[in-house]
Amino acid sequence: MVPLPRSKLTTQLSSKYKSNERRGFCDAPIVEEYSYYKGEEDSPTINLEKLFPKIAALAGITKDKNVPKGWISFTKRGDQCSLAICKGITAEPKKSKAPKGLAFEGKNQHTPVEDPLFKISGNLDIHGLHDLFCVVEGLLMTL
Amino acid sequence: MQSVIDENEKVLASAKRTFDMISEAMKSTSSSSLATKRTKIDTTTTVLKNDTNLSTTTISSIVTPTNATGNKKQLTRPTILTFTAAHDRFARLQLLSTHTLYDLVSTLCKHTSIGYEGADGPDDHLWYITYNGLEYESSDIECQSPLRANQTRLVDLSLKEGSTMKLTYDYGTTSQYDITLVSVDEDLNSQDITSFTRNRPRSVMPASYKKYEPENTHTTPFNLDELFKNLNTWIFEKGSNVSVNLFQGGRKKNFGHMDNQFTMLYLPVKPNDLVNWLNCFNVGKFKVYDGMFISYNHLMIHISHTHILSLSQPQVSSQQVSRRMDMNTTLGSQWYLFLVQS
Repeated sequence: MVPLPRSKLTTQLSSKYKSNERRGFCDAPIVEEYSYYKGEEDSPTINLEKLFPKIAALAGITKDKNVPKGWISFTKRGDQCSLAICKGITAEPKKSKAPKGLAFEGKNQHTPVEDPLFKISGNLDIHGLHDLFCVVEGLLMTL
Repeated sequence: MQSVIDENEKVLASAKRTFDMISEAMKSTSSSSLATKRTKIDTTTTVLKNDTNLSTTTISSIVTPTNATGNKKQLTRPTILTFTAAHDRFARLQLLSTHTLYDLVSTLCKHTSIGYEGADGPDDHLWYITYNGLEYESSDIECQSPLRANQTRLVDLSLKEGSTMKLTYDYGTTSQYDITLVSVDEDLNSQDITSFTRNRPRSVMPASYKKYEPENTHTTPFNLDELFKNLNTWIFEKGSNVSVNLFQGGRKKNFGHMDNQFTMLYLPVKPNDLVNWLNCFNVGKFKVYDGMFISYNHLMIHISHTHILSLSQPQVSSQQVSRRMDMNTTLGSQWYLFLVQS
């Protein structure tokens, strides 16, 4: 699946990711703004940048003098969780024979070249998306 | 002849060194921790060759000393070998030097993703480990090398810190995994020997870390699990082997990639804010209908378990269609029936 936010949709993006679709399938769905699905009256505007300022800086949405731009790598194998917060450039992935214009295109593109800022595994208290964000924000606050 | 003598002398010198090391190890071992197990030490096995004559010299010494009370002592104490795997940056596999290469691969399969969908074990396919130009094979039947992984102890390989072995998993494929020895620890006293083999993943939690709790800014409790329920379920409930990469990796046009072994999600453009970032993954994949749909000419009819949901194009991924059946009607029109799994 390659979700495409409508606000960023261009002709190039559309032709690249939607031209492979066969009739009846939607491998590159166009995603509306969050409020479209929730409804303004049901859910007031949520400002995650305010609630998770460090994560917003990591994502490159805002600036923080202590937090560089980077990414989160989280893996879960059974009950074992691992979390890495990385920065810098990424290693070049091996050439893939997977067809272009599909989600395979984004595979193996988050392998850091330099050591991660944090690398935690084992007894991680992460049971949901909320936990994940709280742990990452807490870690970034120590920088 | 002189060369044979020289080689013999080298072998004897090597054997003496080994014996001295064992004696030193024995001295440093307290009598209370001495095991009573008889230990056989094959110090060296060397094949000496010259042009005209092939002679084999095997120096094998069985040493079974006793302590003051007459109990037999254990001569060798295994060391702890810690390996990393290039394909799993968290893995730190710990084995004893007395474990075999088969044990190493077995541990690797148990704790990291090997083979098809990352779930293969040491006996699912044939494999071999290459080290120092030699190949140690998995099965008892010789394929391309006489060396057997299950008969080769790690201690026999003369591994040093930084030594890298290459596992070629499943003959005929290109699945190769690098395993590197990163540390050798001789202190087994504080360790439970039965806990090996094991994975001691790297973990560095800052001392000042405290789990963050965002303030509730709304009257209703704020929780990302509820706001992005589909994504939360997909990561934490649906897959047992999930990888989540969120935000831009380096300078690549990759703003997130997730994989739960069943479905992959890839975000090639940067959303405006965090809410929409998560929303793309939450909605993009999960606007899914469960049931079936029928294609008749250009008309798509989606049918849920109980009723027709839509007459437009259903948003169903090709990965979700478990079965497609073609049906020709008497009118010559082509019908397709798609069975959909959520």
